[in-house]
Amino acid sequence: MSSETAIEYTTYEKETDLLPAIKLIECDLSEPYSIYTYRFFVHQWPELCMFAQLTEGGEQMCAGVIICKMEEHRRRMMDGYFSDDREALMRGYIGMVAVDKRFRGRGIGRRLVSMAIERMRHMGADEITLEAETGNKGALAMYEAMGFIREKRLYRYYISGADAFRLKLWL
Amino acid sequence: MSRQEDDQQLHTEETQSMTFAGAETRCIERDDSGMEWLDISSLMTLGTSELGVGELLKTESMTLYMALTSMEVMEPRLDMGMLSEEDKQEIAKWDVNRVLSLREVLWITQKLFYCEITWHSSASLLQTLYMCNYFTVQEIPDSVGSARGAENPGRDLVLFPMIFALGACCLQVWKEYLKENIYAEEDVHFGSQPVEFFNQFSHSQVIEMMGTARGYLQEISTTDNVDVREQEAAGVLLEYLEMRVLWLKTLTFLSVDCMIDDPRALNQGTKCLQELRARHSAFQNKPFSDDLAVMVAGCFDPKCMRKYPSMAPVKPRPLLTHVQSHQAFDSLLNDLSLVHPLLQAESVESLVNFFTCFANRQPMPFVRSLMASIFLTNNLVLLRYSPLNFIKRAIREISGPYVWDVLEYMEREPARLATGNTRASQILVQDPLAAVSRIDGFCQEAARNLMDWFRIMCQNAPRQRRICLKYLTSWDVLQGEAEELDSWLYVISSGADNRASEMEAVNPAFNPFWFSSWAYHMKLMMMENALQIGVRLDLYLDYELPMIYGYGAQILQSHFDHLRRMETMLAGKTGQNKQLVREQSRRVEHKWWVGQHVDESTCLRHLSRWLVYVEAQCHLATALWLVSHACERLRLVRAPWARRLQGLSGDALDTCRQQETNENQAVRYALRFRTFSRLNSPTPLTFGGWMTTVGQLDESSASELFAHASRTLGKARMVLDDGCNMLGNMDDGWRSKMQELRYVAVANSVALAKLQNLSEVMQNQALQVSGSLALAHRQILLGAAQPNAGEGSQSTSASEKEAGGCGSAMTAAAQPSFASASVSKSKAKREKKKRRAAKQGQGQGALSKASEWLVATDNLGVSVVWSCCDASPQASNWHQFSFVISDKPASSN
Repeated sequence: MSSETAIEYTTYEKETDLLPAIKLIECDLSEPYSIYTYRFFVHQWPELCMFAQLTEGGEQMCAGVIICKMEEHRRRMMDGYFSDDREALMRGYIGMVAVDKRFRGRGIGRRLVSMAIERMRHMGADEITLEAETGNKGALAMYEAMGFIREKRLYRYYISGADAFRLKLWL
Repeated sequence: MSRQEDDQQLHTEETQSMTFAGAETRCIERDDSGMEWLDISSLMTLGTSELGVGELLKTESMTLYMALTSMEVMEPRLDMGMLSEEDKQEIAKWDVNRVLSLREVLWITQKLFYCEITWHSSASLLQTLYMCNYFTVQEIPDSVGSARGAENPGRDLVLFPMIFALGACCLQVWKEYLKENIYAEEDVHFGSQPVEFFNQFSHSQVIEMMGTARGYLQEISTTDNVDVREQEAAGVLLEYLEMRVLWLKTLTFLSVDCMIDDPRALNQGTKCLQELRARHSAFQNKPFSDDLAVMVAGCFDPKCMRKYPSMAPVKPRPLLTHVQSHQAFDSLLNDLSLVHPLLQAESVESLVNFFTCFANRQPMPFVRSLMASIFLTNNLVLLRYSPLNFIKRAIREISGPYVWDVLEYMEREPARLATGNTRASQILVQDPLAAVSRIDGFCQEAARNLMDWFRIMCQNAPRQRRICLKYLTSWDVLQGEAEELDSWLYVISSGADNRASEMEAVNPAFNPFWFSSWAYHMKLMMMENALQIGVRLDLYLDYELPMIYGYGAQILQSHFDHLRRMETMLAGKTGQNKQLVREQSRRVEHKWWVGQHVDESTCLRHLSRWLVYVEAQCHLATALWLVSHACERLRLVRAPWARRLQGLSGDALDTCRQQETNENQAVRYALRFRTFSRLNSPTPLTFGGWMTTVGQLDESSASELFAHASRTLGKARMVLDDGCNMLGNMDDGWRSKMQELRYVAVANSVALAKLQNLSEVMQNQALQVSGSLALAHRQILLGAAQPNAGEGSQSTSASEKEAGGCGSAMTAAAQPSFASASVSKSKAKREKKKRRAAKQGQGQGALSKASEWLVATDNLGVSVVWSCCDASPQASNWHQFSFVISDKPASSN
């Protein structure tokens, strides 16, 4: 099966789109999220919730998901990188990314992240951030290959007690 | 009927008759405990009937944090306290009235110890001590600690007293946590759990009960007709008991409150701590019998969080093991032993050194909090000195006594000072006290910054770095204010009555800038610290290391130059009004060291120490820059996109290629050093400046860079050898720091020699590959847009400007210098070679050569491990400057 042609990338439209993605995220990520967290994202930024849909044996399934948001960041434009006449910067945030174990290695995660970055760029994002566990070498390698840098280390960030890296990409 | 009762009745009548439009009328019900309930099911059904599936109603102010910390009741992944059938069965096995054997008491005691140390290691109470049902039991049996305890002696005469003593220890720690020196949710979980379990009995009651327990256990140990294993358990319990008593005394005596109240507490606490360390060490050295303790089923409830309110889900976590707990406790005691030397320090310089080393150790939160409290509580430094006196002493130790002599003179004879026509002198005539208070005003401001610096050193490492970077701006502002003060001070103390002194006041050749020199020194130290912590926290990828070490070397060079200037100024008494100083015969004697006079020779020795320390680090950073840069050419250091290149196509390949462009590199550079670029000094190393600096190395082969790095490491060793000899009796912990750095320099030299001589392939590559060639090859292989890599400095200027780069171009003097390296070629020659390299990058022949380079460097069979703790175990505090060579090849491209 050709991995690229069989995968369709879609955007959130309705509640039923979310349920398979939640299952995927629950299997994949160590942090448990309440239903409010998912809805917090998808109801405010539905265009930043994207899925990789895969049809196998005539059945469509969710092979990957990315959930993001974009807001004004409270920090003023102090970095000098952004123009001085702006009051606040727009920060895109990648909240959750998950790819079904069976379909990993096909570039689905990378494609979802690229699509999200492009979409946020068009929406006016100045920077994109996310957190990843310090031990999640695969995820870190993927983001870093896309130009993200480790901006901060967050001590005991997860409820498991693990540290996280805050990764940032300037657009 | 009282007013309150009246209101209550009215409220009840109102709510009982409450109806909801369209919903079935419901009345308030009262349960057996008197709690009032109102069934709102019908209201909920009605209210949600018009909502679509998944529709979210929320307030405007709802944040992601609120969503993340919301909990779905009876959802096992979120409702951590939810009981399964298995959990219920396990919990039901426990009975508080069960008669406990000593072996069972030992099992509970041991597990409580693991809980306690895991709690010290930043776990929450709900994940540790509160799991023990005996610890949180609501009703303590009356028989505990009394004669009736003989019916269940294991529980009443031993276990409960031990638990009360444990609670008393926890209370001491908790009181320290409440001072909020450390961060909630990172270092300590406060939660909203009650802590009354900690203080059910007074210390004297606890000690008395522990005495009874000791007597009972001793009796069991020596009674003939007792089971041998029970006797063994009694012996181990006795050890735990003695350690517990000593631990409680140590915590009590070394608490800040106790040390403020009683001057003898420090010595008493230190003595208890020494005894405890000896006992614990002996205990650790004894063989541990795993089968002596007998488990008590249901005694620990891992789902105890269901009983307590919590702001966020609390996930059960594994406890530290027996070995881990005792190692962590040993480390905790070791760190606590620093309290005594901290309070005995007799100079700010030694305290700066102390806290820098302390920050590297990363002790447990309790010790970090205690150190912060000891440093500053009730606006007293080290429990006795005022911050104002402390800051004055801090500046004096680095800048010399002159400015303080002037101050005393101003207070005593202001009229004689104000003889000139300068504006400052006129101010002094009008209001001499206001002039003196100007300096005090600055010192107050500076004291806040300095107090913060010491307290930052007590934070966890990620926080240290973040706060250091955040506070750099305020140090920059402080330095600016200090410069104004210095100019003013220069004018009024010069005694001249013309405008020449005002001109000289802003000229660094005349004015030593006493206050601002100190502020700049502190700021540079913080910048160095922030960069080095970043390496230790693994924040920089290998491909970033050349620029991190390059930038670090530049900051250290600026620091060295600054210290050298301060030393020269002080030694030559530049800017000092000698007449004024001569008139200073009267010295005020102070009780404490913070107020005592510091002579110039002492200050000069402080500066010499700093010079050695900074110069050695500068050499190390330069050497690591050269090595990491050479390794980049040999593909021992690779950017993540270059690692993932093979097998990629389409958009993914394009994304990787884009990362290699100068524009993207400039953006990443700007992001990495953006805090430094906002500062007024030192002159920031812009991306353009950086590329120019790197360009200096382009024509040198990798082996030449290795050779230069080796010589630089040799210089570091020499500087440190001389520094150790210079220290004499003025140690204050600096000697060990310098020796540690020397170990690093030696270990790096060994690693470098290994790298250079590893194999013939390696040597050949190192000899052949120049910077231009490696860059050209890389660009060809990546298919990047700008194959002529050597033009970096020109092509980046536009993107850098776009990226808001710092504008001011680096002066050659401020850049890392390589004058002594064999890399200085004429610019024309460099350009020629660049053109040749670019030419090589064209056509199939170039691709073939680039591919050969790829294959050759793939076969080096070696990798470099940066920031390696194992490189020099004697210098674990300095692994940010360490690297080792691993025989395991770097992962293939």
